[in-house]
Amino acid sequence: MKSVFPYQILSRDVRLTVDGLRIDNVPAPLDAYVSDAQQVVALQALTESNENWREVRLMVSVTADAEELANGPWHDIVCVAVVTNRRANVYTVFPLSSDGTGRWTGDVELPRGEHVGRSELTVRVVASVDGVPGRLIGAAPDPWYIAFQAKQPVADRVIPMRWVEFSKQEGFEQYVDDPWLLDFDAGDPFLHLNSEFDGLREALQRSGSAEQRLFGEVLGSQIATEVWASLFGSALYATELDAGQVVWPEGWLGDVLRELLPDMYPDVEVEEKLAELVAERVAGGSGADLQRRLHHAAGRRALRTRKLSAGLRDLRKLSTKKEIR
Amino acid sequence: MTPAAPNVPTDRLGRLPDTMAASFLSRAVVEEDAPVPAERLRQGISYWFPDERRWTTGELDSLLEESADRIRTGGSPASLDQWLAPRLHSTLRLTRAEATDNQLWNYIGLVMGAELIRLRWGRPAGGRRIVGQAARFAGRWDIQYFSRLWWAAELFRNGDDYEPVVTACANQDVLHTALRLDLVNHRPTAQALLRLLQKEVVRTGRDINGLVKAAGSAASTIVYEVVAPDQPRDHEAQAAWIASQTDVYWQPNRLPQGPFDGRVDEKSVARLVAQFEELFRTAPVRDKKDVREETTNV
Repeated sequence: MKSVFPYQILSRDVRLTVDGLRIDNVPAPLDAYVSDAQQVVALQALTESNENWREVRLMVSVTADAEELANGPWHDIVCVAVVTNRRANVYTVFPLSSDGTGRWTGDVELPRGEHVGRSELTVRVVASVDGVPGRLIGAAPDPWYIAFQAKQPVADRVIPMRWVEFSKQEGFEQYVDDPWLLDFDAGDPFLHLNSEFDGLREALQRSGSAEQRLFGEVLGSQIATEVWASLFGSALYATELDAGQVVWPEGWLGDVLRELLPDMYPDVEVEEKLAELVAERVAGGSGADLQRRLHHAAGRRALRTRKLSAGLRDLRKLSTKKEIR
Repeated sequence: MTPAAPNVPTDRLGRLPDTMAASFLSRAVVEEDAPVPAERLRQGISYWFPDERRWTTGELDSLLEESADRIRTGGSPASLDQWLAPRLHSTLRLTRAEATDNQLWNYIGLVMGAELIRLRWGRPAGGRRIVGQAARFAGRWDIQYFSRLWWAAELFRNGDDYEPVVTACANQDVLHTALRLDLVNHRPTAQALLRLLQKEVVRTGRDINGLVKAAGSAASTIVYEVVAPDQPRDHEAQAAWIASQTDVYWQPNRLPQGPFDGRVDEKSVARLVAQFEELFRTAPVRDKKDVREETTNV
């Protein structure tokens, strides 16, 4: 919790774990869906295996330091789990029951019609303090994510690609000679590759000669750098400030910011930095420093340095071989 | 996802990708009043909603027609919003997850409702009506015309009671500002906000902005959901309502009935009303400049 509290809050960690999972009231194996280390419940495969599922129920538990709780100035301590889904405007609160020793347990219901993309699960410990009821006194430091759609965990997300004939694509009239085009569909990025661009497919699918393959590796990473950089631009553009608070863009764009900002500004708190960048954008700053950092981070994300140096090395090897032959 | 077959019946709702929608919303359409190129548009549509009555266009078409008539005969934009929001929600029966689908709203905005958007949002200019904002046709959920009204109905209804939606849509600042705030995703908070409007404790857009700001910052230390808990919603009942086939989805002079997924606890609403009244009374004076920036930011 970052805010400043005009009353005493818990100083020790509050921890949230998922202990059980039921799909339409049938217990499901925890290992198949829950990663405790990453704090992720991965339900993407659910629709494939269980097409008509209606509801997922998570059994959760929360622990806090019993001694601290007992000795603090708090009364009527309660603990709630909170499920949010930004896109579906869902904010649902589940009261948990206490065992009196700093541990709470309860069920969290996730009805299918209320969840899309990714939901967040957080926990809040609330008490009366100095006669004021409903004070927030503790929270788990990081949310759990419940993924419904993404095929990959967020950190390994892959941008979907599609080979298309640009000359036959509605709306691509001005771009027929371009090798690739980044596009958005319902907030998700989409990379269109021009199948009419001579040699591009062989290079990128690594199906041609050794040189073509090498070139493809390097080109692939170059495209990725470009894509990440322009996604960042779109994401920053889509970010708003509301009373100085960052309104994170949803879905992909939000994830792009979370992915790149820590690399761009390793020593700064991400949300604060983002607020500053948005304010600068609105004020019309040149963003020169931003661009430098962005290209560095996007290049890292695309493994540019590694691919380029390996590519150049292999290219040298190839050409020496040819000379010998 | 199957691509549009040439013989797809025209009474089915379809989906239109964002990029397509954007490419059809040329300057001539948005800033002048050129018609949306309907024939070319057809090529971009995919039809893949299941074969259920709720994915047909008949009822929705007549609803949009009646809406257009209301404007043509002199109805005000706000009064149309009040009339249309509950009826749209009752006619277009969707889960929240389904209602996040931009492509559906693009279809409704461009293929079915472009004329109505022009009537509702257009400013008269030299004998034409100019909307000026592409996002009213296809755009963010709280700006696109039909998506915004649907979500206003979903977030401000009190269970099966659509009356609060009428209150919410009477004030454009509720739609501009409050709709997209996380605050109103907690049902008792949404209802409390509307009660304050009804009681005329808050009146203007400036008041609403001031109140949501004060309530938002108080929410960083006070957990409203614990102080004023919501009843668990009956998701089964809502699912049944969505799937049910009724004969009448909307009537001109009577509000429809929403899903019986449970009303909000009145005690919780009363508690929040008292708390917000106090907050509003003590909130710092909001200066004009600040407010103008917020309300134009839509």
